[in-house]
Amino acid sequence: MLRFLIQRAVGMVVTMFFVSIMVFVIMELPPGDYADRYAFRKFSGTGVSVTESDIESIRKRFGLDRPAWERYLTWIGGIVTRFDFGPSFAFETSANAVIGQRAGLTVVLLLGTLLLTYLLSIPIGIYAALHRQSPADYGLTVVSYLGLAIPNFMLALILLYLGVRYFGTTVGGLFSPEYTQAPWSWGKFADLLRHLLVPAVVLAWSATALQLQTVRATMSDELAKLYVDAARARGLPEWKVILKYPARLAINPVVSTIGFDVNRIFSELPIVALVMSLPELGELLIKSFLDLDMYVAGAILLMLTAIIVFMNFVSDVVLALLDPRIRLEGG
Amino acid sequence: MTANGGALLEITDLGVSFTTDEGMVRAVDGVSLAVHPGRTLGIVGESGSGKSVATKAVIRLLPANARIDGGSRILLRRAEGEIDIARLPAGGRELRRLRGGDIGMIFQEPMASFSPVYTIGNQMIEAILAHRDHLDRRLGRRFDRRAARDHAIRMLERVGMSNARLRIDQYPHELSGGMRQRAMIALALSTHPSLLIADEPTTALDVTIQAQILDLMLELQRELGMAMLFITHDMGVIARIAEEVAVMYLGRIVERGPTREVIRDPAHPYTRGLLAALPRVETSRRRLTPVPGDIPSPLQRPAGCPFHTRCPRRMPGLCDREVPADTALDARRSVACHLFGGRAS
Amino acid sequence: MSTEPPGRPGHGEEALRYYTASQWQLVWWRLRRHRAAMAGAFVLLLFALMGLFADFVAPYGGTTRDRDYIYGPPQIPRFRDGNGFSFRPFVHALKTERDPVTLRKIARIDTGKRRYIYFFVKGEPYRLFGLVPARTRLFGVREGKIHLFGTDDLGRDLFSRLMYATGVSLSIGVLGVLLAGGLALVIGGIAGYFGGWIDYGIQRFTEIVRVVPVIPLYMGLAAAFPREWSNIQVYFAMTVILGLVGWPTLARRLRGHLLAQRNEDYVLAARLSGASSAWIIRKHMLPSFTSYIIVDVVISFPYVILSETALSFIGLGLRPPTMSWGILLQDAQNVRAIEQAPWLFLPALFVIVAVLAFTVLGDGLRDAADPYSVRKR
Repeated sequence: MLRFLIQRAVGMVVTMFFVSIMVFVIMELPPGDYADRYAFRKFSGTGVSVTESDIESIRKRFGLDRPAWERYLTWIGGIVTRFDFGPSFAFETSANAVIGQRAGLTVVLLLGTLLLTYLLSIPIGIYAALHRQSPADYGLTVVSYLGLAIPNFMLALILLYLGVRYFGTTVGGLFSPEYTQAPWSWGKFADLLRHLLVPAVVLAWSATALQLQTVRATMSDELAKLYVDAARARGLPEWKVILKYPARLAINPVVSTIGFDVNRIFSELPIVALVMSLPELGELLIKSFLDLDMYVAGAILLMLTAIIVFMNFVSDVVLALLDPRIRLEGG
Repeated sequence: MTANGGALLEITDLGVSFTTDEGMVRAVDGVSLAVHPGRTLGIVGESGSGKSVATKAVIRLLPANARIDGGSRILLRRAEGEIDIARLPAGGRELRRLRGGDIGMIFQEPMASFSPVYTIGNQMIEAILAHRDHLDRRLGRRFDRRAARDHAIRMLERVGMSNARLRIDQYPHELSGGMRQRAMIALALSTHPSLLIADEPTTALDVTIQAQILDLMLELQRELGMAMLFITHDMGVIARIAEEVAVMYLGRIVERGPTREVIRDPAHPYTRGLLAALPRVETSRRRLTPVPGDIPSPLQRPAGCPFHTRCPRRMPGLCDREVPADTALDARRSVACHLFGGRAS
Repeated sequence: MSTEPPGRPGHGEEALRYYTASQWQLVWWRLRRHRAAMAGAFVLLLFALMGLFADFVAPYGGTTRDRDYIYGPPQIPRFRDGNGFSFRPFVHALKTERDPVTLRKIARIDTGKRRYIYFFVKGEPYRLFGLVPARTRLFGVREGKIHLFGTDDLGRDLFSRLMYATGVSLSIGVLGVLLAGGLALVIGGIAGYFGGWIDYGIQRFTEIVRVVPVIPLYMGLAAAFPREWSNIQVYFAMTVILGLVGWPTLARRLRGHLLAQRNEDYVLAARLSGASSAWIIRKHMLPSFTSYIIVDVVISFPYVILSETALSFIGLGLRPPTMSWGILLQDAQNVRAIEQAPWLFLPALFVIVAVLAFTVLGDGLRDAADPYSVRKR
């Protein structure tokens, strides 16, 4: 087991190394470099004329004249040693300051979404598998088709609309006005959770639809296996047969795709956040891409990917704990 | 049916149908048989003959689309009295007490009948604890978790597993096929059932291990005094283990009697075909003669005698029109074939 | 469901037909019995025709403005009104009034005047497929204008815009999927056939691409488009990106199929008779899972379409005046727009219907493609 853990941990670091190179390439892709954009933003409209030599000096100041690999090393070195993600020119501060607590909110939203996804999809999927070809099962199939077909941001818009129309409240944002400036308290926390519920529902929507189908299919396969009949032949009560035997194996594919779910949620997050005006990383990512604030964009991309890679690791470990066949092979 | 006063299990007129997309499938049609305490009845037939369905009906382990006919009776005689399993409410406490308690069952695939994610011990102890009351009556002692574990280890040792204390905490995939089947037998017998149903328990094993397992089962049967209902498609296995045999074809019993007599002098053409398909020392140089043709789809049951489509001795105009009735050959043997004058009674 | 593939006949003439049918005939027979899949295929065919002949189907050009009907609600064709019944459908005419308070022009429906709808009317000139000059439009009114789906904030006809957008969005989908499929076929094929360290390297690489969240990755690549690029350049760049990011998933599935096939006896047999690798892949392995490839490709359509929609929606994909579903939806980005002009949501309906159609068709094809498949629903 220890060997398994070390192996996966090393794999995680190697993956992150390659991902960081990819992110760096993306940061370098947009035309012009940081100095151009810095100069343009700083001085455009001020009447000051910027000469080529001014830009050159900015370039020197940020070390942009050095070769790409050196710049990569400086960038990644800063992140690894000082947790410094570089400057943000759009906000005229560091990327760290811009990202700040948004990262925490993102993780809270992510965990809430995952929890909601699994709490919904696993029991419902098992139920559907137990009642195959019943009206409820057909209904669920239709709902999950819709879940895959309705883009999350559309659902967000619909919910926003319903909220305004029937409840007279805005569902967007993360805090009610009275808590926006207030210090942290239980009231504020509860308020945050209330506001996170709708985004979590929106983000969990398609992930739930997908996982529901997976759980249902796996559960159907497992139910047909001999060991289920064997457990029945042992005289166990039906609920125990179902929960202890096939249900336990039906969640394996769910566990093994946690990373995939996180990837999916992060894919949808920016757009949902934009529609629902949530101040977290996704929305910031769009802004920074539109502004070409590439250090911030790179930092966010790297963070999101790091969370995915970590969740992949978690999924590997949980899977090994759940299934002795994987554990004993030594991975 | 002859009187079976002493029978442990008495099945009368059992019929099982399945509702499928293509229509009703009649898998078992009017089967009657009896198993006596401490003795073994073998049921033999090709796949699709309904032998598995018939035995699964005994512990009501049929899929949801299956229905047992209203007139069927599955009587089990226990010390506490007689019950008709066919009429027990599905999923009820009574039925659960029977399954794994009075009636144990072992399956064809030793790999697939254990869940891969729990240890052998976990699944054995679970069975023992589920039948605490039953064991209390049989052995006069009450098991707690630790005692159940000790009992499980003893059972594993009893079925010839070395290092049982270690093996009990292993997962099924860490054991070989033969060992897994031994563990399955240990599990089924750990509750001391009065009847063991064995559904082709040796088919998936290679021949040497097959022989070992059969010997073990015979030995345990003698020791525990239980009755066995043994299903196989292999006449050779039947010859070794069963005192009596019932040959099934397309959901009906076509011939029955003491094993030795049936093998020495098979009456039904189908039984003859099955025996001819058996490899023998003196015929090993010749080609085996399997029963020609395929078993018909149960959706298209032939009219008349179910076997007439493959029968080398069919009588046109009779066999394809009328269902042959059970004809007694002597006190213990009967056959359902027009060759023996079996007109519908 | 049954364990027998549907449609396997017992005996006789029909059985002969069944057992001698080619693989594609079998697939087609089985697909035809799948009602949902056939409905999906029909819808997609309709969409494709609408996109292909957008100029003909749309009554107006995509940027033509109707200044008298801004934010106008949909006009639903009707057969009867206060003045009685008519076999020819019509819409009511509009009259413009000035709001007495704000002095803004408001379009009011004049229930007294009917505008009859005719087929094949002469409208604005256009070039079919950019080549054939024409004026005939599928339908229209002879006087005034007709806006079946209403108009947007500039008074542009939403129905016409949707027709053009359908063409653009679907074509991006097709090109993106084809590119992804081609890449996957080549790279996945190489990995799957040769195995060993080539496979290992490609595997690791696809894993790394797959771990980065897809839409943010698209956004990063799309952000790199120079602002001065023309719409055509952006269009092709989009398809390239969608293809580039889409291939690892496809390649992974393809590799799975290939690895499974590689160990089949018939491959060994071909190899023993001295066939070359390329020959075995082309002659023996490809035909055996062409159906899988088609299924995989159809299944990956929704992702590409949804990605394009999402990217264009947030302004990182195609740019106006190009029309695509995502761009049309930009107008429906906030709650106020939906309250004021809910019909601006109609493009979303097209997206949903298209994705649903692809999904059910993909499912149907998957079931039909595998002759030994057992439906596990």
